[in-house]
Amino acid sequence: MTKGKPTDRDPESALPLTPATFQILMSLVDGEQHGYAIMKEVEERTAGAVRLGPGTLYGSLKRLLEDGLVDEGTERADPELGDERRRFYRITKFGLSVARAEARRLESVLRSARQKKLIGWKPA
Amino acid sequence: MNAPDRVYGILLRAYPAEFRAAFGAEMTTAFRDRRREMRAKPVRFWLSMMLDVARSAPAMRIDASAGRPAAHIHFKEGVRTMKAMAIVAVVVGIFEAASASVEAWIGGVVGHDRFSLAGGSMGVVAGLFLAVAALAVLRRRPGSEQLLHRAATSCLAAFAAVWLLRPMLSIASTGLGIMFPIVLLFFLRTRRGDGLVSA
Repeated sequence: MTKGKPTDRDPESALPLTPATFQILMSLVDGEQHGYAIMKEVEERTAGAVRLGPGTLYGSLKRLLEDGLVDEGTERADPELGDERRRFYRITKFGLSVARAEARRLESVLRSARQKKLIGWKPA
Repeated sequence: MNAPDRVYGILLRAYPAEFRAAFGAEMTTAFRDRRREMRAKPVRFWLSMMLDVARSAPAMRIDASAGRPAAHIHFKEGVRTMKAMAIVAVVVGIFEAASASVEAWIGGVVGHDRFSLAGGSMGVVAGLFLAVAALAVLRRRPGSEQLLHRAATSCLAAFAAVWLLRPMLSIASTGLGIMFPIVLLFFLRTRRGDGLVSA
């Protein structure tokens, strides 16, 4: 990814995202979440097709933090999971732009796949 | 620390030290949450954890050797501040325990005053609890920050109760026994960045 201030950078320069990275960013679009909540959300949203382990999740988060796509949010307990304090993460403006750019890229890929009748077409 | 946490702690050594310092505690928390969720499928759980480490640790090692910057510099600053606070808490805890034990001995045992004995004993227990919890933070024991939080609350409650019911401890001991836990609780509640351990 091209380095520089996130605001100066073109979101397209961050593409393509890895599947894990895109899933993490999508989990943060609705608001800040802690690590385990991200893992659960990704798993539920993909019907178990994508299961992030702690290593994959935090490895991706580390890079997202370094690249300015994600920021540290508050640190607090999650009442549903007990009184352990958890660090919450939130998507940055630049991260949201990158996620939108990635969604557009994937949409374009899907459109091509449809034109080639790889999907959305049933053999007779 | 229970056996699964210990095993996961060993697996975490596959990651670079800097990465562990920044995310190790959070990864352990996520590991515990996942383990609770997959309690009925222990073999599948452990296989998935080992696979996860095998997949992600080499990439982190390559990043570290390629000199990618640390994720969060202030994580390190947070660790340093937490360490300094824990050291002060050990010193304060020992001072409070020693001071209260003198009061319990002189007023309670020698002076046969039950309140001095009870109040002094409470001070000793609260001071020792604070020192032990702070030592646990320094030794990076899991759950030690929560323990320190409880110790600070107990210390505040004990010294405030003695002070309100019958001020018998020295001004220094009472002031420190009330003010330091307030400062410590405020610090634990408001600080950002990583602690020595957060789980």
